[in-house]
Amino acid sequence: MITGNVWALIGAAVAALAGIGSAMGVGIAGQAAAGVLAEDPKKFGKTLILQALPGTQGIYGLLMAFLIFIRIGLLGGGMQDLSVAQGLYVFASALPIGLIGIWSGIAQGKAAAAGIMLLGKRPDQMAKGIIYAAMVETYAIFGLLVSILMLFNLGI
Amino acid sequence: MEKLAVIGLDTVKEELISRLMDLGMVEITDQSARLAEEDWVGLGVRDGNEDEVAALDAEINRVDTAIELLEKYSTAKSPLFFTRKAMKKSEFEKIMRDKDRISQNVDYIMGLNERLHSCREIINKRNSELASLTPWVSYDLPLEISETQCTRIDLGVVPSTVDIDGLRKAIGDDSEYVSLHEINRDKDMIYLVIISLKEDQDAVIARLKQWGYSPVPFREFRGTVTENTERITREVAETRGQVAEIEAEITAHDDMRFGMQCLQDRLVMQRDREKVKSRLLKTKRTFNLEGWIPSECRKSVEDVLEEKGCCYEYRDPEENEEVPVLIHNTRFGTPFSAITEMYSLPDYRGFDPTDIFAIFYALFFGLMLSDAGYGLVMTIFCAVVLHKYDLEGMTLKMIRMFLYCGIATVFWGALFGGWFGDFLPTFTQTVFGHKVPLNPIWFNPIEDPTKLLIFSLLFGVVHLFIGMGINAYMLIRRGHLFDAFCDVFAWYMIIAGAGLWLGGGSISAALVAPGKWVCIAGCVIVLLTGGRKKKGAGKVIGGLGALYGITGYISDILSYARLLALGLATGVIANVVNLLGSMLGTGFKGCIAMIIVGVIGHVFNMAINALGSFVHASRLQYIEFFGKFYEDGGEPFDPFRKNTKYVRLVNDTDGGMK
Repeated sequence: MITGNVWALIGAAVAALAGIGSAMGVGIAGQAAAGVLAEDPKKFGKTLILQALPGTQGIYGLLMAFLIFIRIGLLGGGMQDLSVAQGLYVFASALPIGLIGIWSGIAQGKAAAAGIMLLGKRPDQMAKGIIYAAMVETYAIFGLLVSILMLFNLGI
Repeated sequence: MEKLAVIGLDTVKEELISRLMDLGMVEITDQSARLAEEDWVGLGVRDGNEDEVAALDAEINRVDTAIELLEKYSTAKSPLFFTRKAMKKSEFEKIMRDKDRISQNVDYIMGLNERLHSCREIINKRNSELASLTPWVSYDLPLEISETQCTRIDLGVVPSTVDIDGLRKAIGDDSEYVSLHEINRDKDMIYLVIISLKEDQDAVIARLKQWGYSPVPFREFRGTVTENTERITREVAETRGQVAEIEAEITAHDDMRFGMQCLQDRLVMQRDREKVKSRLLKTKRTFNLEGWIPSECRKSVEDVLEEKGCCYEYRDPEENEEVPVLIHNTRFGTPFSAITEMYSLPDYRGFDPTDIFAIFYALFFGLMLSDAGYGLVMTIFCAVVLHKYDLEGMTLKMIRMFLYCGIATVFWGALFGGWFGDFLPTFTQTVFGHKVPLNPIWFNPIEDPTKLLIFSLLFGVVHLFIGMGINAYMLIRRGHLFDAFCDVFAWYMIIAGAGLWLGGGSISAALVAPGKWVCIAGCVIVLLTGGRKKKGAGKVIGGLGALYGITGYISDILSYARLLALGLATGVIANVVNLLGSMLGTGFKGCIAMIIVGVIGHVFNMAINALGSFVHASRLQYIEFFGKFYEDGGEPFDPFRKNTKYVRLVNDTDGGMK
């Protein structure tokens, strides 16, 4: 039988899935970065900054998973007994960052890759490339925010 | 900014140009368009000598290549921040007295460069020869022998798909006395030696060609393949040795670099002086120069002009003229102009908000990083860099800005009780078994995120209101008082009223009703005036459209929720790092584990969150704040000055910029 605790842990797992988006996004940006580097190896540091930008979704997912662990007392041994309804609450709270993280990470990776191309041609315009990529991140942040507010106001 | 026009005698031109370069206060504008004007036709011609500029450019390139080469093989450690070396003019002149010797050094290094290139070419050529010989190693006849008295020897390849026995048979049909040896075989090719009678050779080769044969001639070689590969390997090793020697020689001459850098800078200045002349006009004995000058700099430039006996006059910029922009900020605001410059400078007739948003930028950054420990590390790092390096320009601004941001981070971190997350309580609990609590001065957002969310949105509203206020100020200054009322003040009423209506109840129930009416009044004003610039039915629909703009304001305000989310992210990850460290043991073991895990984890967390804070603090300015009023597109003021790369000549001004 699926208990509330199982639902809560599935929730933590779903939150951590945001890492899929980051992995793909960082990968996409990394490919573009390698291309730019072939022309000018001195740009390594700058491309790395842009490549790191889509990495945040994974961190938000990790963050949410840990928050769930702490809330349900998984870390430290004394796990609470949650009712199925409570477990489903926790599960629901993990959905926003888990799902938004996946797609926003991929989309941000594409924007970051374009920013890296921009960096290759016009290094002075790099900051704008960063801002474009950061525009995408807004929605991952909102996802995280909704997740956190849901979890913290559950009263577990 | 004012426009300066100067007419002077040809005899003082050179000197005047170098003095203006020293001052670095005038942006000399191109006047060649003038020549087409009726008054000017036949009066003057364009000044400047393009051949001279091209010659100097070529020389600059040469010196540049030499410097790059020295840099590439230099063993000296390059500093974290590149700075121009400050130098007295007299010192610089002293070095430049050795100009000829430095120039010889450049020749010498370029000579080494050429040798390096030719050696590399030889290595490449030999290596490709080696690659072509390698498959043939088991062929033991000398390569120069291509025939005997009656036979011919041919070397060649066929594709590896060819069936050799079939090929043998086919050739056997043409000629009885053919010997076909397979020497080697690899993925693509089969390497063959064909010995045939001289009179049959053409027929045999023709037959082979049908099977995809192509000859591999080795005419330039003497001796067997093995002899040749040994010789070539030896040669390559020798040439490699030469390359290493040349490289070592270049490394040993790294001390020449500084002289070359000085020479490079001198050439660049000379080139710029020559190049700027093409922006002047000249007659037989006089020249005419025009340029932009910031009004504060008039005095110093006038002194020079008087001294050189030039006629000059000023005028204010005309209505539609493109005027370069030089922004001037307070001591606190100046570093933040890096953010403004990154976006785009304000229009000459626009408003420079740097001083206003500087404090918000620092506060937002601090709120998003929100850990006093990280802030402290950042502040100390920036302070050390500022102390140790003689930074200039954008780098200086950035480091100063991060210094202020670091201080703001300490401020917020202390309010929220985050010092490397909850390091102190966790550490004492793990190591000593007794928890030393570290209480926040204000409250801990991890425990009450909703409270910080509300404060974040309030900060946002204040920030937005200031942006809208600047818009109103601009409108009023241009005489559009009514527009300011309808487009800004009505929105103030709506937003502030709605805030009280929805949230005022938690402070005092008496605020709800007035809030409601203020909000409604604001809506009515927007509804009635939104369509005032449209015609006919547009007047009615325009009001609705304007009121629909409320969605824009809502999304702008909600955007500030990131202040909370990013702040929480930093705090929670810092706690997780501490937690992971503490899970590895207690007592002394726990102490070591927490420090090792802590250093790695906190450095990572700080780096990624500082990047995030920088990016999102910028975004809040660019999208939410600038979006309310900013008029961009100003051309940066670029005065005629010493654009040196390596040396900064002191005891002269620098135009107040960069």
